[in-house]
Amino acid sequence: MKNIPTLSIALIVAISFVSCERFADGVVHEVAFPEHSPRLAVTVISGDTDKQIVAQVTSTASVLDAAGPQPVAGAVISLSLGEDAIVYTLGEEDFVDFAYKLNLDDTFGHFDGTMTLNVDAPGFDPVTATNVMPPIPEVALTYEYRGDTTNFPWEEEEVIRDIYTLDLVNHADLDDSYLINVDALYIDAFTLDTLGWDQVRMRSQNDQRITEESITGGLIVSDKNTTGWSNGLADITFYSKSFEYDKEWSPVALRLRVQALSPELAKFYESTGDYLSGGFDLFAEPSLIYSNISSGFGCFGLSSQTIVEID
Amino acid sequence: MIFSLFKGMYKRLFFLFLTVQLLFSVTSFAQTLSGHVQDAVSGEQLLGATVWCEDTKQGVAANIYGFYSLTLPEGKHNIIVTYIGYTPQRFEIDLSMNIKMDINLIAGTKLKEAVVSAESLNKIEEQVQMSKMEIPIDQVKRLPAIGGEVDLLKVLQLLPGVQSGGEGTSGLYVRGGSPDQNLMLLDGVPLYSVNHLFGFFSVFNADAVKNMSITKGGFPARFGGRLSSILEIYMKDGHMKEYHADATVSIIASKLTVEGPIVEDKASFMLSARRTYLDLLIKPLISQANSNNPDVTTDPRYYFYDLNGKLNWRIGPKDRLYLSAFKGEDDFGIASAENYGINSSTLDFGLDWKNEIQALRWNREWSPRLFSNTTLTRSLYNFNTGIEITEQSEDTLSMAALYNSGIEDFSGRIDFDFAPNARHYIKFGANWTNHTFSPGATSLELNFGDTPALDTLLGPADIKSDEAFLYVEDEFELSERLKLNLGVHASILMVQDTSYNSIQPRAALNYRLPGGYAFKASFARMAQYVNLLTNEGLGLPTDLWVPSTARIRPQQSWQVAMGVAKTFGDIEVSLEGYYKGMEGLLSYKEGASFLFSLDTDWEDQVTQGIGNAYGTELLVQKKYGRTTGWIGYTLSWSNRKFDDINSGNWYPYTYDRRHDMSFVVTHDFTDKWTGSAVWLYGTGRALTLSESSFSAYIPDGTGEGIYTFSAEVPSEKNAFRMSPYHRLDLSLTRTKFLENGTRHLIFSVYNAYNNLNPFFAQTDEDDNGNPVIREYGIFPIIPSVAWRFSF
Repeated sequence: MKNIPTLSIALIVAISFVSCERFADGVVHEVAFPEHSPRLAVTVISGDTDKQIVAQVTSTASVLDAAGPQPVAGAVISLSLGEDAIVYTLGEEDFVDFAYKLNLDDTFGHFDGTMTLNVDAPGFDPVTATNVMPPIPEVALTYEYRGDTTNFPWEEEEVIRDIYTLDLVNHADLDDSYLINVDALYIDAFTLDTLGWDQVRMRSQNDQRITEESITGGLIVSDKNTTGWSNGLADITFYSKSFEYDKEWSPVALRLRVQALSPELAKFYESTGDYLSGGFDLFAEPSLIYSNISSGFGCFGLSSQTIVEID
Repeated sequence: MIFSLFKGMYKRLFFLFLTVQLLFSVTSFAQTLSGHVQDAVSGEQLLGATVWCEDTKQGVAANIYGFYSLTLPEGKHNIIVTYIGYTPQRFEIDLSMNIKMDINLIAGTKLKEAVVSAESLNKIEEQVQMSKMEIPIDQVKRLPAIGGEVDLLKVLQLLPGVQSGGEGTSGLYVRGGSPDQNLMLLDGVPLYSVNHLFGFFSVFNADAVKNMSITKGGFPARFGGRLSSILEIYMKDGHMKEYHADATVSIIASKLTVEGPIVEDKASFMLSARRTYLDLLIKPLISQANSNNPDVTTDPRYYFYDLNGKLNWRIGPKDRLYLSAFKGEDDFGIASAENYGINSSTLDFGLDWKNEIQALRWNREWSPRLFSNTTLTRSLYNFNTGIEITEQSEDTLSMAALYNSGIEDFSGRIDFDFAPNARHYIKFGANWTNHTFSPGATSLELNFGDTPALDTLLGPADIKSDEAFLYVEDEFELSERLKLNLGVHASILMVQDTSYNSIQPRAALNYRLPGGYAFKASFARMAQYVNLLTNEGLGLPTDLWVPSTARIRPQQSWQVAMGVAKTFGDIEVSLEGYYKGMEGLLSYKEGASFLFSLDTDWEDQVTQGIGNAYGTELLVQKKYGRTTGWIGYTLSWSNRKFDDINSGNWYPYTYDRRHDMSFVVTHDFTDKWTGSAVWLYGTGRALTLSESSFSAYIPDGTGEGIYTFSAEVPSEKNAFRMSPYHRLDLSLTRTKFLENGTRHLIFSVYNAYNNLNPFFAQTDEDDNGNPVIREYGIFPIIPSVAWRFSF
C-alpha cells in the first residue's frame, strides 16, 4: 500500500515519456472526404443590348482536386421562351477557350415572359434555370457638373465632384434592382483614335438603397431598403470626381448606363461581391454564392439597359 | 407600465398567496424549528444542508443562505442534520413552542456516518428537483487540472448533459443549448463572460468559492432568463472566528486567499486574488531577443487577474448583510517599434476584456417561517480591441482604431421563503433589471502631424431595456409517495417602445416506486431576452451580447424530462431522458461578419430560427468513502433550423455530440497521498468544410468583357465531423501537516497519453503537393506541479 504513490508517480512519468514520441507533429490526421461527383456549373448573363451571348459551362471539382473546376466542351446550351420556343442555341462550334460565345447579328433583344435555360452535356445530368427579363429602365437624370466640393483625409486638396441625381421606377409588383455605371470615353491625344469607354469611380453617401458593388465598381440600387424613403427609388444621388476637360488625357464624353436586373441576377451580383471581397475573415460565417441553376452552381440572369448620354 | 402589464397577474398571485396563508394558518398545534446550519469552526453557512425529523419522516433543506425552517407537531422529536463532508448531528428536541436554533456541523466524515446521512433527505430519490448536480469544492480541488490551475467549469464539463466547446475551453453547452443560454450566477449576480485566456480558464477562482451547482432542467420558478441551465456559484462568506490564508503557486498563476473575522462571530471578510505571470516570465527572453537588433523591438503581453471579495455582517439575530464583489480582466497585446535612420514606426495592437460585479444583500428572518433576501446588484462586461500606428518621417502620421462592446446591468430583487408546515415550502419574489447594451462601436482617429484629419465614432447606439419578473413556487407532499413542485414565472421585457411578456409554468414531481426507486418528471417553459452573437467556430471574447429588440424576438424553450433514481448503498444512480424545443434562436447569417463592419446594423446580419435537443443521461456517483467519483454517459442530439442558413434545412448544431462519456475517480491512498484520474470521450465536433469548387463569371465594369472566378462551395452546414475527442488526466497530491498549517504538493498530467485532439481543420498540402484537409491539435501532454499552503 505504501508503494502505491511511488508507483503512481512512476506510472505518470512513464506515460509522459512514452507518449512524447507522438508529440513531434501537430497533425492529427487527414479528414476523409466522400468521393466527389462532378456537376455542371453554368453561368449565362445576358442583357437586351448585348451583341454576344457568353455561356460558361464547367464541371465542379473536389477541393482536393488540384486542377480545380474544368471547362466542359460538347455541351448544348439553349435559351427558349415560353413552351419550347428556342430563341438561341450554342453548341460545340461556339466553344472558345473556356466558354461558349455566340456573336449575334443584332442585339439580344428584349423578351417578355419567362426564358428557360437548358444545358445538356455528355456525362452530366442536364441542368435548367428560368429567368424573366425586367422592363427597360426609365431614367430621369439630373447632372450637375462640379456641383460639390468635399475633403477626404487621404487627399491633400479639396475634391470637386459632379453630382448625379436619378429618379428610377419602383414597380409595385416587382423586386426592382438596378446596376448603375458611369463611363468616360477617351481618345488618343496624338492619333485622335477612340480608345473606348472606361469606367468612372462613383461614390454614394448615406443611402441604404445604394450598395457599392465591389467587384465591378458599379452601384446597385435596390427597392429592398426603401423603408424610411417616402419617395421609393427617386432622388438617387451619387458623385464622381470632376474631370477638367481642357486638360490632356481628359475624356471627350460621359454616359450613364442603367441596367435593370432580374432579382436572381441582383442576388448573384451581391453574393459574388460578398464572397470575392470577403477574403479571410476570422469573424465571418462562410459565404455562399447565390445560384438559380438546378445543379446549384452558377446563374442564369437577364437584364435590360438604358444609356443616357451626359452633356 | 410594468405594473399595468402585470396588473391582472399580480392580483391573482396576491390572492393565491393570501389563500395559501389562510390555508396554512390552520396548522395549529404545530411549532417551528428554525435557524441557520453552519460550519462549527468557521461559521460558514452550509447551503443545502438537510434538517430531517426521523419521527415524522419530514425534512427540509437549508436555503442558499443556510436558513432552515421546519414546522412539526408539538412534542418531542429526533432531528438529524446532515451535509456532505460533515459529521451528521443528531439530537432530541421538545417543540412546545417555536425554537430558533443555529446548528453547527463539524467538517470531516467517516464512511459509517456518511451512510447514516445518506438515509436522510439528501438522498437523490427523496429530492423533487431533478437534473441538478452539486460537486463539493474539496473534490474539485483534488481533480487533475491543466497547468495545475483548477477550473470549476472544466469540472462541470465532466457531468452528463454538459459538454465543452473546443479543446481546453471553458464554454458550457448544456443539453444541446448554446453558451448564452446558461445563467451563470456568482453570488446571485449574472456574469456575461466567464472566460480567461480566450476560454482556456474560467473566471471562477476555486479558492474563493464555497459551493457550486448546475441545474439542467426542471427549473424551479425562481429561476428565469435563460433556456438551458442555471449555474450557481457562491463565494465563501469569510471565517467568523480565526484568520486563515491559502496560497497556491502553479506554472500558470499564483493566488492568495485571506479570510477572517472583523468582529468575532459578528462580521467577517474574504479576499482572494489571482494573477498569471506568463508576461513576467517571458520578459527577460523578449529583452534578450530585442537586444540582438536594437532597431526593431517587439513586446508581446498577456496576463489575466481576478479579485474576489466579500463582507459578511450579522447585524442582529434576524438580520444579516453581505457585500460581495468580483473583478476580472484579461489584457492581450503586442507592441512593436522600428527605427530606420531618422524615420521610425510603431504599432500597438491590444485586446482586453473585463467583468465586474457588485452585490449588496440583506437577509431578514421575519418569523420562524418567513425569510427574505433583498439584493441590489451591478454587473458589467466590456470588450475592447484596438490598433494604433504611428509613422515618423518628415511628417508624422498617426492612426488609431478602437472597437468597443459591452453590457451593464443594474438589478434589484426580493425573494421570500415561507415554510407554513413540513409539507409545504413556498418561495416567491420579484426582480427588476435595467440593461444597457453597447453592441459594438468603432472610433477612428487620423492625424497628420498635429492636425486631426479624422476623429469619428461609428456604429450602433446603445440600447437600453428593462426586464422584470415575478414568481411563486411551492414544493409540497401530496402523499407519502408523491412530492410536487409547482410554480409559475412571469416575465416582461420593455425595449425600444416594444414589450414582450411570458408566462412560464414550471412543474416537477417525484413519485416513490416500490423497491426504493423514484420516478421523476419535470416540465419547464423558459424565455430569454439577451442573446450572444458568436462565431460558432471560435468563441472569442469578441462575441457580442445583444438584447431582444423590436425586430429581434426573445428566445423561448420548453423542456420535458423524465427519469428514475435510486441509491444503492453509497452509490447514487440516475437515468434521465429529456426533450427540449427552442424558438427565437439567434445566429449570424451566412457570410455575416460584425467586426469592423461599420456600415451595417447588427440586426441586419442576424437571423432567427428554431432548434431541438433530446437525449438520455446516465450518472453513477459515489460521494462518500476513500474512493469517490462518478461515471457519466450522455446520448444526445441537437439540431437547428434557420431560414437564412443551410438553405432553410435542419442541420446538426456545432456541438451536437452523439456520445459523451466521463470517468472521474479520486482515491485517498493514505492520509498524505491522494490520487485522481479523469478520462473522457466525446463524439467529434460537427463542422462545415469547403467540399467542392466551381467557376462562373460576371460582366466587368465596362459591360464589354467578363470577369471569371472560382468559388468554393461549403458542404451542408456541419456535415463533417472531427475525430472523436478522448483524454486522460492524472493527478497526485502529497499533503504534509505542519505545525503552522498544511502544505500540498500537486503533480498533474493533462492529456497523459498525448492524444492530440483536434482543435481546428484546414486545407493543406500533402507531401506530393496535393490538397488535403487536416485536423490539428493544440494541447499535447502537459505535466505540471503546483504548491499550496494553507494555515
